[in-house]
Amino acid sequence: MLLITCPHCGPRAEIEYRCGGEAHVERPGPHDQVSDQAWADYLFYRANPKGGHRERWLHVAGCGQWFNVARDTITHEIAAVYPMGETLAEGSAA
Amino acid sequence: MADSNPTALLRRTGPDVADIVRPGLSVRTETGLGIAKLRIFGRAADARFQEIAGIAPPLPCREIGSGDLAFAWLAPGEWLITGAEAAVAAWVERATALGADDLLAIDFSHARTAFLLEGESARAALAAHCPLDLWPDAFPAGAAARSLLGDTGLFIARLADTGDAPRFRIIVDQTMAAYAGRLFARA
Repeated sequence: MLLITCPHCGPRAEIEYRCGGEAHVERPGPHDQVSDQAWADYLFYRANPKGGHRERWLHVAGCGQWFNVARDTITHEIAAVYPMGETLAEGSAA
Repeated sequence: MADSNPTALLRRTGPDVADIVRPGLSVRTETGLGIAKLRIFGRAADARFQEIAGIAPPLPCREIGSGDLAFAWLAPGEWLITGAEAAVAAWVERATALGADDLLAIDFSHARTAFLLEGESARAALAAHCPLDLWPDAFPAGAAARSLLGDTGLFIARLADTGDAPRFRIIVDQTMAAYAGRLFARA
């Protein structure tokens, strides 16, 4: 089980959280100019890297807040936890 | 219960959960506990809390007492208020009377069931179903948190110890009270 440090509640067990999948997926727009390809990519296709990954997590059983996690999908090491709306500089973690 | 208060006059219809008393562990249903939630929207929620409640808000993951009431931090901008049923109802009424549109105070005493757990085995009984670290370093008296109890959610606060044994108040959905009772009966 992962021990994830919620930015508000501190370290809590993985079962208190829900993983929201890949972080920083942006809705393409303006909507009338988006190709089917770009729209399908936005709706259905996600990165599935072996190694460093950025994910959204929700502390559903605790404070109910969303946040971002930089996690290594091989070692499960969590390199950083950072608020929604922020990005990590490339190469700064994971 | 104050007889004049219509909220307090609502009959509790929750299932009766038998108290568990055995060496090292007692689990008792806490009757007459008022439970309310305060939500404040906006970035300056803590300052607004101070304006409304007249006290500094509790730190994250902590519960503080003020008069007859206890205020526990649940999330940024969200607090749980517990105390005597009439006192909580009166507090909620006062907060609602402000008429402000950036806050929401709701008395949901009758939607929740509270238990008092105490004894040397209280931590072990909780640890069987709750993923929190309840040892004193991580969860001293005055700590409060929302977490899981088996398949349901719980609010837990550590009250002042009785002697050497820890004492916890846990609050679960009223519909899950019988389930929580069964978990402790087997723990």
